Amino acid sequence: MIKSLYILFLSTTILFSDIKYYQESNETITTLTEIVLIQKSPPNAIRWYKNSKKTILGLKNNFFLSLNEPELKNIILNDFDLIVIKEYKKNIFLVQSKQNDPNLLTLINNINTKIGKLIAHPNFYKKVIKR
Amino acid sequence: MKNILKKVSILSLIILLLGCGNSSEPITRSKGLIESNDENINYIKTPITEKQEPFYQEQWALHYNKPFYDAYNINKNSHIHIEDYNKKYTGKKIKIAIIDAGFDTNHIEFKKNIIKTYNSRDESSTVKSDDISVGYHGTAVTGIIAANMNEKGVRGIAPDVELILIKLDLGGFLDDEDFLNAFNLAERAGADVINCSWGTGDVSEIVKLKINELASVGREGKGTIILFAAGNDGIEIGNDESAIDNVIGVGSTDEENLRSIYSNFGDKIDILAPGGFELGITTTYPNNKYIRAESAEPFVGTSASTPIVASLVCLLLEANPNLTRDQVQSIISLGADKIGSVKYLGGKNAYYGSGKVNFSKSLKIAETISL
Repeated sequence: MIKSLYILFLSTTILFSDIKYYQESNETITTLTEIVLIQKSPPNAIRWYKNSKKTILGLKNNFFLSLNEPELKNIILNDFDLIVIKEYKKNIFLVQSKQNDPNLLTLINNINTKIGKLIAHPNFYKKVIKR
Repeated sequence: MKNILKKVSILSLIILLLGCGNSSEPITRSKGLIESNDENINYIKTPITEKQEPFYQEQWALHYNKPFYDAYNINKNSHIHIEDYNKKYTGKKIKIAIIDAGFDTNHIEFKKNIIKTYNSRDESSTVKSDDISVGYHGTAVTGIIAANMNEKGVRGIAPDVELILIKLDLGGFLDDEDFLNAFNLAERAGADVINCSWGTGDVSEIVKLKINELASVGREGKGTIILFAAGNDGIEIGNDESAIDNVIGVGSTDEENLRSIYSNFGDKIDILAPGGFELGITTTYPNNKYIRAESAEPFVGTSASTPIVASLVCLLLEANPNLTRDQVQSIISLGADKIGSVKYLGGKNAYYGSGKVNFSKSLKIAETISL
């Protein structure tokens, strides 16, 4: 009896761990301040937005993952169909979607909402000023 | 032999006297860029003091020089009060990364201090002197910190510091990857201090993350000290790089020893240093030239103030290498002069931060702190 219960427990754990390795969150994580598309661009090119402060921002077709828990890396790459372009020290990765011309803002928000933490960050293109 | 020696000593004495004459020369009013002294002159091998630097007399941000101050009606407390500490500390063994554009890596005033150069775009070590086609900004910033005492032109505040020059293509659009690369290169080169005389006005989360990480774990856990210029638009700094808590956000003071009207402000401003208004900060210019305080287009702004505070950080770390980033920030604040008429609550206000840097007060504190 005890043995059966133990087997049932093990199989349940394995079943669930196969499905999700991370805790899903119901909380919506807002990674981006309100930004509005100001110019149409060809597929996979930089898209130009304006934020609430009227700053012009380009959104590149790749983005960053910052992972304090390195074990999450492969899971997120698989679940969201991503490839690593560049690896920075301390668990910062520049990644790109394997899909053609995905909606990056939605993808970034989906990752953060799913994980319940701010781990996906856009790669913005912005004006730098010498002071 | 004796005669030859005698002749050499007389000649030396004459040259020495001629050299000393430089310090008491009347103030020159010529405008624009000035060529350096003739490189072929054989200088006497006696210890060089800043007074032998041809343009030291007009480095008003560094010291009080009555004739120059009177000529330009400068408030007598407008300088950084370094007093004699500039003899005691020169930035030895401290590594500072300057992330900027327009470096003249062959400038006679700091060429020998350069230990590494990087280009943040391709992460190569290529920073050619012809990069000055993009402007002189990096050269001017570097000179304020590291110009050597060599009788050629100006005195840097930390003339023995070790320089890591990281080229970032300022002036146009850059992506967050470029910023991350630049900070990664500074980390890789072992920078103790990072000077950034630029900003975006709206820092991305990923860049903030990288800066905070360096400020916490750099210098083997003591924290790398990162400085950003607050900007020259006379506006609230908002979500600027200079507003990050673990960064020293630097504003500017003018010849009246008040906040420069253009200097950005806000609760997150940390400290002010001379950046000028009508008078600029005399410093280095590409091709062994100098940009002078009275130039028609002088080097003015928080870009000039930031390397002054970065130099103070270098001297503090030389005085006490074990200081943590937190302690450095506190020492700078504690030593600051509470200038201006705006009331300081809890030692700070939104226009002046903790006040204007006072080198001797801060260095005195650093020397007395035991860890």
